Amino acid sequence: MDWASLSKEKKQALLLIGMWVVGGVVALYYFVLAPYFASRSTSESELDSLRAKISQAESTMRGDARLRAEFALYTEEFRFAVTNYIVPMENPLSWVTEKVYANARQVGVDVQTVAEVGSSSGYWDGAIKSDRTVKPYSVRIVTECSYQQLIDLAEVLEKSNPALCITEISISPQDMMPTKHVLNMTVEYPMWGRKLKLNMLETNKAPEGV
Amino acid sequence: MSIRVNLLNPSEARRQGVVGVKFMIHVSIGTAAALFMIFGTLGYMRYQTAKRDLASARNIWEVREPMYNSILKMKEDLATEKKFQQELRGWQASRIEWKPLLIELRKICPPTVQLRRLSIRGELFVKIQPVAAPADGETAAPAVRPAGQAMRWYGITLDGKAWGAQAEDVVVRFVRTFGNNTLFKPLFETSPRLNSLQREMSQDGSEPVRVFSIEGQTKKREIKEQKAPQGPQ
Repeated sequence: MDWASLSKEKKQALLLIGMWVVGGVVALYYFVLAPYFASRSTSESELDSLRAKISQAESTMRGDARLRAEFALYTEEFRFAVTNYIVPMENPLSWVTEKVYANARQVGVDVQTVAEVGSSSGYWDGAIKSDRTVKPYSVRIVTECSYQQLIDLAEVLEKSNPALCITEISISPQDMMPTKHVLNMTVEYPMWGRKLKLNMLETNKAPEGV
Repeated sequence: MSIRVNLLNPSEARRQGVVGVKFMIHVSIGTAAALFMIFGTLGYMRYQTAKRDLASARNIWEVREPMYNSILKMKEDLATEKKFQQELRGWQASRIEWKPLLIELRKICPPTVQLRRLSIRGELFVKIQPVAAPADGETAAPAVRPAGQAMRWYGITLDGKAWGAQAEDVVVRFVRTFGNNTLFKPLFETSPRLNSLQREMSQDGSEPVRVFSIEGQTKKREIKEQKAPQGPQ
């Protein structure tokens, strides 16, 4: 086919056909191929992402039973500690007084006073803001007792709460009663410094302070 | 000599090859169309398969997601609970259990010595941790200043009276025994010292007594998180 020898009408017809073909190809690309490839790419990337998520979930859930058992154990311990060891934010003196009197009664000590001792250390405020959960709550216990009763009282207090700390003991004699000494004791309990955020306990009844 | 004369018009000339131009054009277009059809069909099939797989993966994820999220929450809670337990263990490790020490003190006290006053006073000591200086070119981040490391220590004071001809010796021996005792020795920063020893006349005018005061200071005990040796206790 010699272009030069073609008649004018044939040349125009061929150009028209060429334009239709190019236009058709462009239209095919923009309206059919491009959306098709985009959709395919989105579906495939979503599929890849879902497969990765499913695989990660399955590998996480593989140790599910062991995790649940560990969680149940720790949660039980946590609930016990929260109920028995940690002073609540609301009405702390009442909570502590109840514990102290109950402990003292066990060893036959008649407690005269349980009073709150203010803490002058600003350390704990900073510590609570950074990473700690509990701060000290101190009470002064005043009573009259024998040296043996002091030993018993110290034992029963320390056994009742592993986080409790006896920070001061002052025992001095009374001239009129040689077997009854005046005892001043400062006991430090752990108290909630901030609310602890737990996801799984949110739906259940959360222990006080949590 | 032979002469070849071409009497054909150029428009009338035909290609003399094995395959004609028209045939080549038809075959090219046909091949391109066939390839387009084959790849298009394959691509479409692949797309349909991916769509089916995607739908099935979505269904699986719909079931797995709540379980997975619940496990993640459980893990998060477990970490919080463990940290809390470690914090409580740290409190426990920082305290001194007084019962065995009070019993021991009564045991080591000589018969001619009467303890008049026992005073134990706990103090909180905070060791400030230095903040790392920002490197050159870095702006100092508004970081929360570390709270420091909290430690407890205790001052122990014993006031008492000693009777007898060699009361001074008895008191000095008592100070030594107190400092070297297996229960007390590991607690002390330095050996307890005799703070005062005075002669005091008894009220009835008989035997003089020695009034003494002994002071000791325990080592600093950190209140830091303690990991459980094996599992929860």
